[in-house]
Amino acid sequence: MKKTVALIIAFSVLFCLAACGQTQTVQAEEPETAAVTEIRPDYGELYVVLDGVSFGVMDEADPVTDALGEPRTKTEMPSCAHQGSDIYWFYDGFELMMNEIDGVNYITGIALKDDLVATQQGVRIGMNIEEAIGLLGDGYENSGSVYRYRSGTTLLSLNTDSDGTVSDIQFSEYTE
Amino acid sequence: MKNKQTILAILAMTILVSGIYLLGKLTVPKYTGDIPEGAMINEYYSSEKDNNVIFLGDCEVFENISPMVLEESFGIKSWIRGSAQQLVWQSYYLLEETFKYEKPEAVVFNVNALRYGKPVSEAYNRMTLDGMKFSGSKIKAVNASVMEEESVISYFIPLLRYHSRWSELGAADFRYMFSPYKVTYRGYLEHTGIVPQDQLPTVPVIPYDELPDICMDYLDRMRMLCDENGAELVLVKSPVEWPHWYDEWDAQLKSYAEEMDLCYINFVPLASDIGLDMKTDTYDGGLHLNRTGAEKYTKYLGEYLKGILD
Repeated sequence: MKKTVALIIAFSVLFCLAACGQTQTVQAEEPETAAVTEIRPDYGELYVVLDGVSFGVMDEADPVTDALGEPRTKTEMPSCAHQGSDIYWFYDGFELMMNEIDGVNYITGIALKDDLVATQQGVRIGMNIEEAIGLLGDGYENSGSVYRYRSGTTLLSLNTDSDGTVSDIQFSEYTE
Repeated sequence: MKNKQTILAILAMTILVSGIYLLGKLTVPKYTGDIPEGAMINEYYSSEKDNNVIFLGDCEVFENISPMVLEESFGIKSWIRGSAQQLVWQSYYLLEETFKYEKPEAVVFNVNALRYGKPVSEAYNRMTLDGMKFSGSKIKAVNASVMEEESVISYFIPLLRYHSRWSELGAADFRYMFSPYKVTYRGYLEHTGIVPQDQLPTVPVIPYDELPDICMDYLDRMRMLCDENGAELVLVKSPVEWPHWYDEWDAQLKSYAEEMDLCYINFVPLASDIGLDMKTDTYDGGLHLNRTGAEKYTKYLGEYLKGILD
């Protein structure tokens, strides 16, 4: 009998230890995947420089938006990839997508809209893809009309028209 | 003496298992606050299960389609087994489970989730899987869904995951321990507010030209499951412009539907025929429809469903 009780107690203790060993927490109303993740920008050379302000994916947004000034318009939509909302700020020539992660706003996407804004290498909309490749290098993946460069956790996607003109330039988070 | 020991041991084990079960029931989130989406899956079990049509999919079904309108206007009884960011393999196993309860004449699957070839977050997994009753389908759904950092067993012994909620338990946790907190009408989560669709963000460059293989595989399994259970599978894309549904994916599904003799309707280009005015028919700037939008879409969709059921 003593052995059985001891076994049950041991099982209970093990169960509790296993339970307490999980460090993540899930809140009742906001079932986040809890544990605070360390977020560091990891975009290498894939970023934008505009009027002396350089910014890339997973940079903290507030210092960047403070430096860039007020956008033309803003909008917010429920996010599919993150908790909360996708926040979009529309500037002349480009858009920023931002998400709040663990209480901090991060840049999670950049879309260049016209040829007044370029990547830090000088790649801009309207340029021929061969010229863009000349500036960015050969380390791309090509699928149909899209050319993708990856650096760390950043993906730079260039979409081209049928004549090889770059029509879209977008920076986003790289997900496998 | 030995019998007494055995009885005591069984009694102790029963108390332990019951305690774990009850504490799990108590600590699992009830979603009575700002995120009611987590409470929806569980509502189905206490329903009558007398449906002509079952809807499956993500927010594009449970916020955009009104079973009330479908019943009032067309006499079609339906239930939406939808949940936030419901992935196609979760839809498949929910359907497998549903067929054990009832045999609807048609199953409508909203194809938006086919864009996701892997789980997006634990939070979304939980909102679909925690609400499922224990069954073979749940075991398979959990195994197909869990991400690396998650533990499979915690989906069956919730106390392992939610024990840290002990200090924040509220009245709702006790009140809805055994009976689900009801947030929908037959799976439809109504929103009555209006936030007009304004400037949409730039359409992201297409992430991949074809929908992920795993998604198409589960879609095909869903087709076969419907065949085995005598239900017509109908594929729809809800008439909202965001997130963008790419022409390449549309063409892929059109070709699949043609090959398999399925009905696939992309309602995005039909938004004006439906009568949607995204200045008034959306509650969140265009991502989802509000009540008036859902009523318009459901009436339009109902005509197709009526034709299929007849």
